[in-house]
Amino acid sequence: MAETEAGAIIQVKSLNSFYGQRRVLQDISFEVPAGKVTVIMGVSGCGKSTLLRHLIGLKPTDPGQIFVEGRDLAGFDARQMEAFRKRIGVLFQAGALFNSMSVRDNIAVPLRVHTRLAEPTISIMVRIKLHQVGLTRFGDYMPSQLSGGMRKRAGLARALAMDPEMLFVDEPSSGLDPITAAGLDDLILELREAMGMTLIVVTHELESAFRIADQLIVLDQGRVLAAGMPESIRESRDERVVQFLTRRADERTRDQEGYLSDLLTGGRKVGVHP
Amino acid sequence: MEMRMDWDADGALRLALQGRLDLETVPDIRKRVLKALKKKPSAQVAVDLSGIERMDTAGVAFLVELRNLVGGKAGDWRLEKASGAVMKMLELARLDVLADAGADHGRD
Ligand SMILES: Nc1ncnc2c1ncn2[C@@H]1O[C@H](COP(=O)(O)OP(=O)(O)OP(=O)(O)O)[C@@H](O)[C@H]1O
Ligand SMILES: [Mg+2]
Repeated sequence: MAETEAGAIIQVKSLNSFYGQRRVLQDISFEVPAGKVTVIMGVSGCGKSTLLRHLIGLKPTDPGQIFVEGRDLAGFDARQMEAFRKRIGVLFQAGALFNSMSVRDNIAVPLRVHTRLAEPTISIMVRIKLHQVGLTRFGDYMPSQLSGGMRKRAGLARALAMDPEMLFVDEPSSGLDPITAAGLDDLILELREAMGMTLIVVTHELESAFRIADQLIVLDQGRVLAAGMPESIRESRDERVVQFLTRRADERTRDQEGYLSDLLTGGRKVGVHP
Repeated sequence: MEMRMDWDADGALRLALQGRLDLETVPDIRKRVLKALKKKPSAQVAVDLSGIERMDTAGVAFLVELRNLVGGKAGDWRLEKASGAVMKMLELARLDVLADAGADHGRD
């Protein structure tokens, strides 16, 4: 596999992202080292899921901003994009299972579509994946019959179906109790160990982040607030990083006058009243 | 992927695999092994994994199926010379038990 200097499998260079006119990511730069766990953190709405969508080629990126093994993602043609998609596994924040099929079939779909594996082999593989995420006996269930946390784990099993080289997961442990969540952390570390998998994990859980991360990226309002090894983030003196790590909420509504006027105008900018 | 199949005098199958045992190679290997076993049924199988460079979940699943096919009783199934990387894959699948089948006559 062609890797760039320092073993980066993905490079992000001054990435900007917009929804319409609104900029949600600004000048984001970092590298994803191959075979390591990169954790992306930040408060709700700071742009984590948007960043993931760029990395997996789901949201179009301007040329020169994201490179996979040194090649510009923006320049991928349909065939290259398909080849890339086969190498990655994705767990979306909302899970995104096919509601009309059983959990078992959900996991089997990528294998049926992308490989020539025989059905008995696929069936054993699906059971192995279900077992790994702690859903051994739920293969026959429909997604609607699962709890939120179980759906999340079923989605993870599906993302793992093809043993991808790179796994992107958006909040795998949301909705999970601490014990099940810790089990997922262990699984993530095992995947890195046993398969040399490259993992990009978005999470809100500080404890989990520090447990699994080889590299931590903290986003704040669409920018990289801090990036580096977990120890260096933990030792950061940056006020905003400290605030994030100690979980202090922003001071309650600093600007009460502005807030009051928002309540009356619905946030629309209006002229000063006569 | 290279594969060798030998039968000893008692009819036990010895399977030696080399290269990648993964979702691209398993379909053909499986076909060939199942065909051979149909022609020459064997209740004992030993799989030599010393030449495996890479194994994924499809490879693990193939081993599970093969073991099941020959009955899966202790002593009738042996995985030999699994490398550290192969063992890690078995452990990841929570199936490291597959590799000590040869050594556990005493157990169920
Ligand atoms: N499809 C969309 N259309 C328009 N704006 C969007 C869309 N998706 C996200 N946004 C905006 O982009 C910003 C970043 O959203 P994003 O979903 O990336 O945040 P996040 O960090 O993943 O948040 P959370 O932790 O709550 O999941 C938000 O302000 C959001 O309103
Ligand atoms: Mg999100």
